Amino acid sequence: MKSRGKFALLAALLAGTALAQNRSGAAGWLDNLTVTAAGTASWVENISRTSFEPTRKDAATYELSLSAGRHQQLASAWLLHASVDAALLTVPDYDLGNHLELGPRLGLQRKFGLGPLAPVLQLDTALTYKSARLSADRGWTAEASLRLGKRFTPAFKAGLTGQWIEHNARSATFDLSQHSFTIDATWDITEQWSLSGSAGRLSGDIVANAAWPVWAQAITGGFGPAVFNYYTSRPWEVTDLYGAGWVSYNVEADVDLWSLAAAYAISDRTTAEFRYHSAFVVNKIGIRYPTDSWGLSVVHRF
Amino acid sequence: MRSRLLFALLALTAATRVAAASATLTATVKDTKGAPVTDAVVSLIPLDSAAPPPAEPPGEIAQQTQEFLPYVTVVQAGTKVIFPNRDTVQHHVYSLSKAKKFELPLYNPGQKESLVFESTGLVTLGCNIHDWMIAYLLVVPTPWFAKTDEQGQATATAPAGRYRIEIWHPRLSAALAQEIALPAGETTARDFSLTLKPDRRIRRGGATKTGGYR
Repeated sequence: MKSRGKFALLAALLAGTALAQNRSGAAGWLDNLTVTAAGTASWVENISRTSFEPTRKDAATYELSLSAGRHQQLASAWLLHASVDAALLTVPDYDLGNHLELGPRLGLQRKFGLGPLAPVLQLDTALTYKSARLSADRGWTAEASLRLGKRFTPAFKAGLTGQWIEHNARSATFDLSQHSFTIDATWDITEQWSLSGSAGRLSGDIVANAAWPVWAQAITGGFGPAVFNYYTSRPWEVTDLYGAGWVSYNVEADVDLWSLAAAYAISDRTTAEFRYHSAFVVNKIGIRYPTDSWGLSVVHRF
Repeated sequence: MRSRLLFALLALTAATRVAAASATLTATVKDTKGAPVTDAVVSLIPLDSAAPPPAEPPGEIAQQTQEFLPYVTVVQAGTKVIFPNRDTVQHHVYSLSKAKKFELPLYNPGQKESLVFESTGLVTLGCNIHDWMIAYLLVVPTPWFAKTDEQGQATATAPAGRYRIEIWHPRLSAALAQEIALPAGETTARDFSLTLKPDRRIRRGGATKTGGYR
């Protein structure tokens, strides 16, 4: 599977490069193809999503993502967007967390009126295959989102997004059913600098992890009957994701999400972005899993 | 032979009169920091006679590389302006300006449309697909106008006489006007200092990363 994942990434890279290079000489359809690549290095605190603080693991992650897409105006107010997206995530310290995601994305956008201040409603759908190093996490993800966006001034825009995600993994431990609501805003401070932020609430399944000694205590009643009853009713398995004997388990949770990003436009096509992201997970029985990450990305549109 | 000579003499006299009757204005436009201002429009509105009807070729505002080219265009009222789509993508050109409201929806690559701009005033053009695309078309009541270059200089030639000079720029809050007399056969130089507002154009959509959470 590891070699299959590498092959898929290589194929996506070659296809993207070939399409980008052929843009000038190719037919009109290909002329309008937009190929975007992004590289991100992040530092994630509590990447293990562990509730017991002394056993939490922090790690650096590296992500390379590619997207080849095309816009098509269907009518004066309707815009169709189709793309194929690929993303490879590596976690050198915990390589069982490495995975490749690949799949098509289709979006339909409706603009209500003329001009840059007219509100825009956008429906996005995606189907992604996750080829994870950890076989239990491999599977298909279906995603749909509805976003209402509006520009208030030439330099300030905001949006409200509702999203639904369903991940059907090989193992029930990694099955996810989530929905979220997010509000976001972007302020273009200067021609180069922009500041953006988002805040949201996600509800649904979350995969958390625990070192074996902690987990053993939880499922033998060491942390009380509430923890015992809930954790033994949910799917779990030994995955060794963050060390020998580590357990991954699935819980229902509410997650408070927020992020803040500063972006610098190096050129019309290249942007560097520094982003802080926080996810505060509280599961159904009140156990907390705070996760923070700092990431530096470079995004280039070919 | 005699009549031909007489005709040549008359033509020469007329040409000399026309040349003598024309005057030139050289305007230098700078901002308050002394930096040259590009794309400022200098127009000469005659005060003692009516301006002749438009005779210049049609104006052109193209869509290319998902931008309007040029950014600022100036034409006399009554002039036709051509809008060729030289891009590889569709555009939806529109204007909501009082001087001319119009829409060219689903405007395909290679397509060319033209419109006549009868009313004077500012026409702000946009593309409803690419929000950052913007251009200004200034419709003036005179054939004597010029646009400043990168050095902030514009040269307009007009018949000698009294004029109102009007200066306009996309970032100027109100048009600047002053009266001037242009003597025949002379070049008159004028310097203008403009207080410009910050450039509030929509930034062209740069690629950005969006994060998800699983």
